[in-house]
Amino acid sequence: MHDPWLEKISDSIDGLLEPAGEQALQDHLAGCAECRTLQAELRDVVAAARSAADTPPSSDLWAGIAAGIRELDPNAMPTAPDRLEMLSPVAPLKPRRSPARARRFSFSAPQLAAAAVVLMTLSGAAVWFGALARPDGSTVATGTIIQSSGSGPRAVRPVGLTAASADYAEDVATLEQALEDNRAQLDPSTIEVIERSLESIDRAIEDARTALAADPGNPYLHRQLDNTMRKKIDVLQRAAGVQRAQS
Amino acid sequence: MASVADQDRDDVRDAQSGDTAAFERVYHRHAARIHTLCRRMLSPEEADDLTQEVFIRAWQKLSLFRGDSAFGTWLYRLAVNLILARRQTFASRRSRFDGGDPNVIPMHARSERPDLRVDVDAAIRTLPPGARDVFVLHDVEGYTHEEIAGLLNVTAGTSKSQLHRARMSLRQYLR
Amino acid sequence: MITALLAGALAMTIPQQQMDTTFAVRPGGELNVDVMNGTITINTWDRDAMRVHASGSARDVDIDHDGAEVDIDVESRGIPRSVTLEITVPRSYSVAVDGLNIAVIVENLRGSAAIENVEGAIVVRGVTGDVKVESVSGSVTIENVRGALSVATVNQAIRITGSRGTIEAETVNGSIVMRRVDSADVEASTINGLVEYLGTVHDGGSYFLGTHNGRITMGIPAQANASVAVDTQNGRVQSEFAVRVGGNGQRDFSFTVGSGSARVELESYNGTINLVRPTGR
Repeated sequence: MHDPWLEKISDSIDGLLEPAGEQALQDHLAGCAECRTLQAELRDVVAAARSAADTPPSSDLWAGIAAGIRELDPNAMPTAPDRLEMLSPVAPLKPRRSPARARRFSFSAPQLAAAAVVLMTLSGAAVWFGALARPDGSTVATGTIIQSSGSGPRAVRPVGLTAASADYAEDVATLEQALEDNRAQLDPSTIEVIERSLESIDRAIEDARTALAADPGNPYLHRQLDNTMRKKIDVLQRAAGVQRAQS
Repeated sequence: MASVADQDRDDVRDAQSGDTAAFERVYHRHAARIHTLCRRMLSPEEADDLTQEVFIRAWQKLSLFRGDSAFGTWLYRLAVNLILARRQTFASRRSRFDGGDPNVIPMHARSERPDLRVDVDAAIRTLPPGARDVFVLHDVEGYTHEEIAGLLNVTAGTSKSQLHRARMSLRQYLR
Repeated sequence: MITALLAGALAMTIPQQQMDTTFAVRPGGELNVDVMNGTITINTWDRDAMRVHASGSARDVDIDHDGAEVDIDVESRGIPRSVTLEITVPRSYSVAVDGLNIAVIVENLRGSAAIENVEGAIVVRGVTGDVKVESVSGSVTIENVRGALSVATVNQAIRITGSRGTIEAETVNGSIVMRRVDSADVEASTINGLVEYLGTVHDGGSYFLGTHNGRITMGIPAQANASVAVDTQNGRVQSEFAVRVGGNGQRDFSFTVGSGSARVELESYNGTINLVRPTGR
């Protein structure tokens, strides 16, 4: 019947016909009232579709969304924190299949809060960042504080704590400023190595955060993020140490 | 007044840092569109619930949004995927291109609304799911057949034939 | 981060371009090396002595030792270029190497080795003690380490072969490949790279391979006994084992091989998980 032409009419409305096909269609329409009616009707349908308005939901759904977000992301807050403070939630959301592993790498907020923290001095004399392991030491799990028995302040800030993150941001900023201020003392090749390292560390921090946003309960990602953030301080400290050695 | 895209860009960036107030602004800006899509492709009854799920999921995946397309586009795509997944989960085993529910007759199709603004949404819901998806994505939202093929995992040819079918079927409601 | 401590009785400062010196040390001591830029090779002999050969453009090689601990600190003044250090230590020694842009090779040590850099390939071979390596952009190659192994790098791959002790390996963008490894406790995680374990699966052992975006390949040898748990959010699972699925469905399941004694956990968010039966050893 008119089936072969139905598709052509529809395609024509969408501008999908080749010139030859378009011509053939026009020729046909000239002699077929039924198809002309069909064309008009299909045009109406398309027009109705295109003019179909979006209407909002009858009630404000934000409350439900906010509740869902809070369930996922207890650290989400109504004001934007400092970019460097964006750390994922401390508490694992999904229990890992292996409690033994979770125990090994989990860190509870109360546990960390109880630990004494923060002794990172940035002085002219010495800048030390606590070694997280020494040849004779043991590996430190995320969030644990180690105290050094040696000289110099060596307590390590647990970077996994949201509370500590403001300090982290500040420390990074201070060290970055120091690097900038004393740039002249470094030779270009050293600067290059340091900057390259900082760039790749920043990218790694980004990667870790991205991964954590998708998989917030993952203790390994938490640890990698923390370690990478510490590494940044490490490199900045080393740069400061190198700078001091040169001056 | 900044464009939607500009406002989105700023708010999304803040939201990516955990700022829920910024995300609320994003929600209000896109709620109507997403909700309408859910109504059309699923049903009015499910639209509220699914809209919330879309935004919660968007929050969850926000860091994956890289800004190489407009946020609205990204959000919309996420919504389409969720809708299709929801339908997969709860649908019966019938092929999605089987018949819809022709017993749902749009109230105002014929008599009360002689102009074009008839209850398009209700009309659309009479379509079987496959044709409905294609019609909404193509004629309402302006996706191409190739894009629809990617979204729905069908060929462009299937998309075209479903569109034709949808348009033919809707003629009776949208005169 | 181990930086040089200047302590001890004897300090030699040799401001020249080449140096070759040998001095007596007691066995079982500790060597600390701090070099900003260069290549450091440490190997061993049976003598109670240490030999340091330095070449390149280093202006200052400070060697500080008191018989039990030796500190070698290369400070580059002015415009530093790179220094090449070849150090031979008693086999019983432990070493710690720290620097910025340094390639490091440590071989045949009975003590422990701790190496930290930002850039530069790190190779550790034939070390009996514990080994700890931390880098940012350096690749890490570990062969035949007996002790506990802990490796972390950011951008490069970690390759571990023939090792025996516990393994902890972590990278962000690199892959972790473990072959012919004989360990009872393995934990390897990466964000964007692949993870592969083809080694022994010990009864009572614990093996965790995790990646966010990469692929996991886990070999479960013919006689092994393991409870295997697989979890992937968006990835596929390909298995050479007939899996009797228990769990939440195709993306989150577990199965048992033999008595199920070892615990194997494979987690990938976006990547494919491959379970293979390795042929041969």
